[in-house]
Amino acid sequence: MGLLVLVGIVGFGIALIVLLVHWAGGSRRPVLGTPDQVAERYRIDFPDAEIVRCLESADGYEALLVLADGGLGLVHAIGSKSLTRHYRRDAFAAMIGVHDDASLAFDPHEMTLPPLVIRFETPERRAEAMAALGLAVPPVLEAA
Amino acid sequence: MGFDALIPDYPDVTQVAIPFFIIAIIAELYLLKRFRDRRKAGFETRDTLTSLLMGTGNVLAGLLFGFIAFGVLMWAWRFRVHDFGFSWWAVLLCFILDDLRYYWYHRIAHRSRWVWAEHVNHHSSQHYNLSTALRQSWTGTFTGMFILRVPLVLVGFHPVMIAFVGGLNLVYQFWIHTEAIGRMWKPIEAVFNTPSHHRVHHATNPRYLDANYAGTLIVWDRMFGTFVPELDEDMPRYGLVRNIGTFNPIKVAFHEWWAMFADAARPGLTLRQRVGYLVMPPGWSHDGSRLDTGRIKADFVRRHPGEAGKPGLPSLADADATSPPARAPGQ
Repeated sequence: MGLLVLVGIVGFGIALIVLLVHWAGGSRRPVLGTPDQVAERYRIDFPDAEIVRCLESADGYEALLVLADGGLGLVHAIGSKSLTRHYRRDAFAAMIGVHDDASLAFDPHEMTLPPLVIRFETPERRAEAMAALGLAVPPVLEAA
Repeated sequence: MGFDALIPDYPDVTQVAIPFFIIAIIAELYLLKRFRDRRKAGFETRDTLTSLLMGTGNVLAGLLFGFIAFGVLMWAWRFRVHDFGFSWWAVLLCFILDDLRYYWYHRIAHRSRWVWAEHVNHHSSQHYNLSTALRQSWTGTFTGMFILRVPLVLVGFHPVMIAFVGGLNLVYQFWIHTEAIGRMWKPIEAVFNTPSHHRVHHATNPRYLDANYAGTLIVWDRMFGTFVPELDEDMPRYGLVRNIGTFNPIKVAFHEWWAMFADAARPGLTLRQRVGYLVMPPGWSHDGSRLDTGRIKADFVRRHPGEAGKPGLPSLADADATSPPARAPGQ
């Protein structure tokens, strides 16, 4: 098969498949759900986790978890799925900062998890979340 | 007549199969949409695009670097002890032996981080569909695992034939990356790798980790004790034990290489510990602070003693001997 023909078939095939997946609803990004659903998701990866409190972002794509072991958890919606992380509190504190009045900027320093903006409904909700996480008012980080 | 004239002009089967791949993915998308089962992972737009770009990159990497492995095999050909020629039965025998070679390559790829670093991208999708089959490595040549083909050359199979049957094996493995096919006729499930067997391989449920390494013939897993059947009561969850949060193909291709070398370069380690980060199983750490699959399985058995000793899981005694209760893997 000639290289040009190969490139043409591959290019056309990729474009066609991606368009069809999009039209079939593949670009929908579901939210994480209720606190119970968030906890259930987290416990798939950390079955022994005792979750004290679940703080969901306003858009429903992120949730921060206060854990009984003193650590903090993250559940993050990625595409139509989600991922989880467990952090020591001191490590977490070094990753989080203020984005704006009602949002936190979170930079996990991971190649495969880009910085996140965790938005809350109001500045009060954000302050409440910070208090629940046991974190001091953080320094301002560059917007993610 | 020169020797080259005696070598059959085998097609590059993976390239020839590309139109079939495209049609099959569209057909699977239609079937999953038509008979939607919420428990199935389905398709996601960016995930699909990433998988297809990874496949494209794999073909490009083959065009750019394939000569390295082929050159080594052609050099080894000079030292062959026999020549099986190009008869149909030689092709069949070569296919079977190469499938055995694939089993061991694949098993090593999951049990040594050096090779896992290139193979991890194939498992990095939380979806399981025909596009996932094309989420292939860009860096396979650099692990040096092509040397596993050298014994085939030395016993008398020509490198061109080995490349041909290797391509056939990869094309076979395409169709098993689907949730659209349930379990098949028992004799087929007994001998061949099937969608059911390979769903197990891609799953992160503790019982399914490090299982079903087969390419075409599942008999290798049955022979070497790594076969685990798919259970209706434990539906596979796909992806990685620690899932990634990016669809960037460059990051998907290189993230584990980066993490592995960063671990090995950490200050204060002994040489043995640095080498450990390169060659020990994924999840290994010099201070035991991370979870490898043995500890994940042991922890699961401690929480579910009734599951102890079932396929893919250790006995209670083995679980207790494996490790103390795991610490949560924090940063």
